[in-house]
Amino acid sequence: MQYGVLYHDKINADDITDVGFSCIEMQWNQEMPSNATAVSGIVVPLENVDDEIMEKVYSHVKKHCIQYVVLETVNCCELEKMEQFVDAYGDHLVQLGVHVYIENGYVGDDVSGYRHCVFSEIEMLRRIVAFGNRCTSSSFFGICVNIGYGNILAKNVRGMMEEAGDMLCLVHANDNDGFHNDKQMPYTFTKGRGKQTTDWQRIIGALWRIGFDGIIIFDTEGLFERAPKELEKQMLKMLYAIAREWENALNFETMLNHPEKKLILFGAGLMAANYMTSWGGKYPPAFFVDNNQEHWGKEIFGIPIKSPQEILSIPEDERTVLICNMYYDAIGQQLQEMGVPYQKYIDHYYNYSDKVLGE
Amino acid sequence: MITVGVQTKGLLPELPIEEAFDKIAKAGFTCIDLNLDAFLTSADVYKGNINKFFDAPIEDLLSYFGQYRQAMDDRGIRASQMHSVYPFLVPDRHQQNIYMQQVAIPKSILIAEAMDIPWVVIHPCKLRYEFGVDREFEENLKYYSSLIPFLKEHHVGICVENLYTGIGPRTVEGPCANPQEAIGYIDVLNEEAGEELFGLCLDTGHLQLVKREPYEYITTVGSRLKVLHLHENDVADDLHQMPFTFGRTEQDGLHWDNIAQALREIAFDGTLSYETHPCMRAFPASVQDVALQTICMMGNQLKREIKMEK
Repeated sequence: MQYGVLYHDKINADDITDVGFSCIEMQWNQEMPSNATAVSGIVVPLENVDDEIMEKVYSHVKKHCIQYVVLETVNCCELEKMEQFVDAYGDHLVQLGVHVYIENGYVGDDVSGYRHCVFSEIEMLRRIVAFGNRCTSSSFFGICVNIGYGNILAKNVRGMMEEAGDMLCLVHANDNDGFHNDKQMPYTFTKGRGKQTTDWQRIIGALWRIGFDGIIIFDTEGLFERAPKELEKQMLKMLYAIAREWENALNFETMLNHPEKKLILFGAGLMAANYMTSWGGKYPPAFFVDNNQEHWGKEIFGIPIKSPQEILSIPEDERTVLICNMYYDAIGQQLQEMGVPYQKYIDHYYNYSDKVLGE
Repeated sequence: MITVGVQTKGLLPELPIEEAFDKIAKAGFTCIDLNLDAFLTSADVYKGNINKFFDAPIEDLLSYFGQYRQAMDDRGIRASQMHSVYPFLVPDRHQQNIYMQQVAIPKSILIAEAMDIPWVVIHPCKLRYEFGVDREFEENLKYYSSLIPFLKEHHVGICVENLYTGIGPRTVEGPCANPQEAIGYIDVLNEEAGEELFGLCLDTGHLQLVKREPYEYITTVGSRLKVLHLHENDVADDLHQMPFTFGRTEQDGLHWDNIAQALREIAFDGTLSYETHPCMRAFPASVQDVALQTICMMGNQLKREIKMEK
């Protein structure tokens, strides 16, 4: 998995890699500093693409060793443009080793409002990708899902990820209020006192479910436009902290996959049941521990529930302790006082719903 | 000297005291806004669900907040302001109103005194659509005025705050939304007190909701401005979010450079205090420390802008 940022003129390109990102994406008409490293992709508007623009793109590809082109479909209503693009440039891009990712789009703007276009539906993007791959006898074409564009069209973004499935190669991450194309930092659009209006956890969970192994780019022009230049690097640090959070969620299995260690789940309630449904078959715990004494000595899923003190009976390098209870802070404090290192299980990444159908 | 602070809500009382102040200090803040409204929430007061927190003897409350004071002293943090419980007046709740006015708020003032907190924010009550603006002013003034001897005895000041209210789903201006109205409260009360016991707490998010220009508001109230609640929203809902995270162009959202200019012009010398606790809920736990650090850096940046000569 790779993480990066769409370049903005207010950002120092070196700062992007300094904070930890491995990729930078650029617009076709931007000039990157000649010493800029890690430029991985270039955004091209399908509506306006022509030979002149593509000559510029080829020049950037050579200069920066670019891996992919993003075809931005905003305000483009003609499917024929895509056919023309594949015919005119597809083979050459494939020869250059450059992948082509088609982004979901819309028509409209902040004033007139936003509506669907032919490129808004993932089903259509899948057909275009299949067409591009067939025409170029390659597998270089793929889908880019822009989460912000999905939100302004009131799309089920989690469903978009799942529908894109193995064709999903690139994610553009940004957020908005559902009415304006703000291109802002994820997690900052809320209702009331901090309730997220974008279900980021389950969107990232959908990426985990489809085995996504592509690139996530923070396409947050609004954030960089609004924040003072002096705060630009700190904003990049915030985006990188979000990337790390997602990376940990997507790589959760790596942490579990230590057969030499005994897995202990702290908590024997609903979240533990969720763990057992999502992961328990492949990575069953050796035992559960719970602060409720009434549970000690009983079993759930055929696995015993013990006192938290039992954690200490297993040497530290032979155990992984996972908090499986919403009171992460209180239990974390308890484990810290016991001298026990721990990880947290965030069930919303992996469960499909909090609700139960049937019995 | 201008300092940068953050509210305790969102961190306390949820986290252990030492851990919460560690986070605040590590982020770079030197001041806090002590949220007593986290111990008895306004939502509960409006519903009539008054918990037992303020029933505790004042000695016990002072002992509890003494732990805060110790943790703050250990880390070089001071409390620049307190957010008291509110509302102190709800129609048809006579007994509750007596409790809020004669028990909860006086105990808040005693806690402020013990913690050397100079300003306590007590929201004026929102009565205008049921009883009229004049009656609202009269009722608010009556209660604030009744506190004057107690405030003098305990060396604590009170700030009224610019508020919005709702008519059904529509957000409209509430008490002190108009700077002239805020001036009316403060000047009448200070004249009665014979000293500066009352000031203004300016909430930047509330300004956005009632479409007021910060520059005009701040320069109108001038030196009456004592305390700040800095945050930003989408101009639709009182989100208490991090500045700069709405809109797409430099012209969108709150114009923080205008706020800096206005604060410079009135020679504001207090605390740039951020009331952004929903950030702590909205971001994943692993991002919260960086978010807190980012808010502090925004405060330091604003401080530099205020100090900058034109």
